[in-house]
Amino acid sequence: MKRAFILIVTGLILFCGFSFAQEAGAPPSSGELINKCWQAHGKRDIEATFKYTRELIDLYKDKAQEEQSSLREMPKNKNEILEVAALNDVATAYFIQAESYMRQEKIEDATKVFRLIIEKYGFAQAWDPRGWFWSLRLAAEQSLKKIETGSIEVEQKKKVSQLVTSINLHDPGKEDLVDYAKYGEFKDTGTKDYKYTVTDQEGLIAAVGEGIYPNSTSVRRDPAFKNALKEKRLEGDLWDFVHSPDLEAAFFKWATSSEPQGVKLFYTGLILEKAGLISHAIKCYYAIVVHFPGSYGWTYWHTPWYVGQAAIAKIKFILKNNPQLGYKLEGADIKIINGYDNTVANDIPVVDPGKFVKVEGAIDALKPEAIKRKSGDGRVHTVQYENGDWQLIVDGSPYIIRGITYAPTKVGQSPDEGTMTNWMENDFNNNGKADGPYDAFIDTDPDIAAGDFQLMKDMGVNTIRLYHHPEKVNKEVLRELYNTYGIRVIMGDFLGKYALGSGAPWNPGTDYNNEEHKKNMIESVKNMVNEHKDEPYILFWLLGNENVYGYACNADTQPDVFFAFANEAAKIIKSIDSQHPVAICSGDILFLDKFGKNSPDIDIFGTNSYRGDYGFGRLWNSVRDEAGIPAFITEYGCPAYAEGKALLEAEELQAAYHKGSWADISDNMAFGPGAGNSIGGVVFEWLDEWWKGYEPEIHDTKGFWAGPFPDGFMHEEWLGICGQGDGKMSPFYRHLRKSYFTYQDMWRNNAEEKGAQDQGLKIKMLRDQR
Amino acid sequence: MYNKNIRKGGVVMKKLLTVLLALSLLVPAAAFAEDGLKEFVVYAEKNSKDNHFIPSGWMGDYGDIKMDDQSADNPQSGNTSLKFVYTAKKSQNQGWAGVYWQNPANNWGNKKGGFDLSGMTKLTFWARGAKGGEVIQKVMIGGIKGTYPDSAAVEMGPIELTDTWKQYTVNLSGKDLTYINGGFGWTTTADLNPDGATIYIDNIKFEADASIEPEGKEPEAMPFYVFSDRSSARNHFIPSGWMGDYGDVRYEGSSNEDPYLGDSCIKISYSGKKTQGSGWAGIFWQNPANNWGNVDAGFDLSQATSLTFWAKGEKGGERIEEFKTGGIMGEFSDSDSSVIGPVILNKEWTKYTIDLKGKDMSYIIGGFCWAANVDNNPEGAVFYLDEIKFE
Repeated sequence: MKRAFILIVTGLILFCGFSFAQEAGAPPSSGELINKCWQAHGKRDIEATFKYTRELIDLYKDKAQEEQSSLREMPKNKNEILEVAALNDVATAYFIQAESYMRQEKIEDATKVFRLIIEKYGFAQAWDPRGWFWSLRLAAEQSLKKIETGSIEVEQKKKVSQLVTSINLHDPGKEDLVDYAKYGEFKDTGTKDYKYTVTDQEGLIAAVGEGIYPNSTSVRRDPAFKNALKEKRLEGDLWDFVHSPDLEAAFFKWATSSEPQGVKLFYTGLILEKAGLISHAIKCYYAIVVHFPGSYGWTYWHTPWYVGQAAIAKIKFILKNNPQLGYKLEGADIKIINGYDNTVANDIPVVDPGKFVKVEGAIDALKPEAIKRKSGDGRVHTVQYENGDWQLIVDGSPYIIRGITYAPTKVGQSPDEGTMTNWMENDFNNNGKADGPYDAFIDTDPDIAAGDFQLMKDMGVNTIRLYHHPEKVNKEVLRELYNTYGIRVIMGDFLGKYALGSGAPWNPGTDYNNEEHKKNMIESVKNMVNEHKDEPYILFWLLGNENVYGYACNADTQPDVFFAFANEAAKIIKSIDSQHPVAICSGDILFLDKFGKNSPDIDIFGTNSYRGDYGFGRLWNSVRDEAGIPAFITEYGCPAYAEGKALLEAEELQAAYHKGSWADISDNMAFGPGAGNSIGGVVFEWLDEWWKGYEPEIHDTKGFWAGPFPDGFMHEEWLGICGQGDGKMSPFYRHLRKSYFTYQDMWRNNAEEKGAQDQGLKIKMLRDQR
Repeated sequence: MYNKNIRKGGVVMKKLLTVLLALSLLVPAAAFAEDGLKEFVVYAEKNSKDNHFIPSGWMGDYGDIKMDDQSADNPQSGNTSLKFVYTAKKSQNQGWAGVYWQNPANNWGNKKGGFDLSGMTKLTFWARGAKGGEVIQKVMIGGIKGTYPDSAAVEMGPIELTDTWKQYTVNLSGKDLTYINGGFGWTTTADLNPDGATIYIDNIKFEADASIEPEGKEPEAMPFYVFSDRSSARNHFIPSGWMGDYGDVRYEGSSNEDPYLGDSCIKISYSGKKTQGSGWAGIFWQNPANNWGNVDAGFDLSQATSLTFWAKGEKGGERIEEFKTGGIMGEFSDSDSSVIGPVILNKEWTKYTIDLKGKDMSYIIGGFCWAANVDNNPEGAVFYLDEIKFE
């Protein structure tokens, strides 16, 4: 009896203690704890690592299990992923424990935890600040594989037909370029009330042919379709067919799918294009413009993707690259009012389907234009001509940004493990010179230290993009970069992205309403400008790095506030330095309208954009409409790896992507056929970085996020214009990929651009004569 | 005369059947046709030794059904018939009810028990209503799934009964009858029989009639309704194909809120709550119910030149991404599809037309479909549909 009484009293005390703790404050969120876990793991503090991971697991494992049970498939986008935060964080805590065991060489313990993640938390994902979510189950499988075999590649079983086929259309349609006016009525072209009404559906069905709206009949009557059905080649998930070599099956699968019509037609067109049926592909894309111009899809980051705009870009791209067709699409435009936010409910498409016109004779000679607007009188400034086109002027001459991101990381180094060193300081061969810039050699000529700076110059690079923090900038290296090699620097400040410069903790990150954060960021910007404004290598200043997507800053939820603050920063820069303009580095065209309204003192709109091998679509026109300033692409690129392709073939695909991207950048420069406001672009990136897939010694081939790349995935460790071979001779070895020579052709030998430059010179002369 | 022949046939085969039944204990799916069997009886008389299958599979609002398997109330032949009283009280909140004849009793495909009825080419039965006008939604032969699924699934209906006995025939020619556990079944709905129904059925049997040809679908006459009114026997297709966030959708097939025509319309409430995490939802009207192209059924609507329907939104401005007919892909795919959308609904009834000219509508399982999403209806949407028909 006495013993029982003691137990009850003890229980009361414990209960009271628990209640008190509850009153004293809510338990930490799983998000707060996981940050502590990563920090402790980063500092290699094993005791703290296990303290925080255990606390997180104890607090949230029941909820995590509930969330795992509630899911039927892997959450696909950011919002869905964030809804199961407990699941993600608990699984991540286990993953950190396992990684810590690996560091301690407790392989058996690590194996147990990796297996636990695979068995219990299959739908958990973790956020990588580099910009994507990764599957903990997949990462655990790779780690197990590494333990067992030394290799991390996990074989992904192909889910759909891999038979290599081509497409033979049973019904190609009666017209190559359909005269839609014959089969229906266009109303209110060029307005938000645009509509095309079919009046002769039978005629239109016959004209467009197989697989193109509204012809859904011919596919079903195609003997090859029946055969593919019989052979069960149409079995499997629709999206797995996008990159299947069984083009015939992929075409049938997509043409008979139940996806929204715009998306369905776009991917059907993509497959036709891959099969070389370019006329049919153009018809397919144009059907979107005519019938479903306001259709949309969603990107991996849950931003809207406007299919009609992409379709117009695709058509122009195909026609440009196939001059034998002898047509161009004139006047086609789909503007989406309210199209720069994350919702589609408020979208209002303004549509002009344009028309196909024959290309006859040479393009008219360029006519000199007078200048109507300038961003300043500094040695670097922007000018707008009477025709509305823009150019960047440097020391009195037009300047096209032929840029590249230069961050040569030695294989084996990783910021995740705190082992990354500053490329401007690295001197692993102790010859007193920075390794990459001066000692790099190419695989075909290993005896000569060509150096990256010379190689970049030979490629035609005239600009690199660099941030003044968190790594220290070695001004001497940059001075030589400019003085010897003629390469200038776009110098950036992150403006609070990743909490850099604001003094904010990672969670919740920079708050653009917080006066303390703002003060710190302004100081950071001022330091950058004061430090470098008189250096000859500075081309202009760059603010942020796609802050609009959020991540350790609240620009995604407070875009007006962010852009207003960026404008303040620009004004402060200009009060210190009148010689260089200021640019923003945004994320595609998200919140572009808010940028236009809030940032009148920013001179150039720069943005990171990965839209595909056909360029950037309506981006240039959108900047012209919303901001009325020149634009450039601060990041674009494509992996030189594609699943199922040989490395040389993947290099060709990478080069084709770059060629298409630059052609679009070039087309939209002043006095060209496009928007006239492009001033260039910055390729991402010079050299493959092996640390991005978490195993810095291994050249990872996994796809991090789905996107418009050769195999449908971004392989972050293969974005280099140069490769590092097998990594054994890093940081010196350079394999110059096909893209290198593609750029060399375009940047050093391109007559079209030379023409534009000459035109700029003519204008200068004209102005000088006045 | 006809009645007499049937009876005779029953007597002739009785001896043979006894032997076969004994064999069937060892080999349940033994073939009959090869032995020259001409008939296989489901129900002839109460306690007839010729009877096969048990009316054990009560479905839906089973509490609404009463069965008398020895009704002496004017049997079609002999001394008894089957009498079903359906109250339409929705005892189980289903809105529909029915009975399957199974072998053995309550076999939903979880055990072996089906018969090999190869050689049979039709099923016939007699039926009448107590008053006339009672509607059987459909009768089924086969179609039970499970570990031991039936080798065929055939449906016929709806059937509007008269108050006198009438024989009905289901064509089975060309069907794979090698394993049939669901020998016969019927379903009906409260919408079709708002005041309930008393139904008599007699003399259900399979027959081997060599003169029956496989059923080539006859083109349906126009207009051909998907939905006319809640209790209309003219309705075809079942709104069974719920897609995406099906938990966000509430379907009322007998809304009396300002129907466009008749006494009822369809009311659909889409909450947009993403219950299943999809962000969109929709309903396909199918034939038979839940047929995603796995059952050879559907209608020949090749005479249709359009599908028309009336629709309105509760507030106006509701956006429906697609209205569609056809497009179901499977082993038995729709022969074509046609779609309109997006459609912004008005607050007033508005007529919409899906053009079918130039389309191959000869084989349609998915008669009608709508799909909406939360992207464009963040607060959900309530909308109404009426008079959905092929013309």
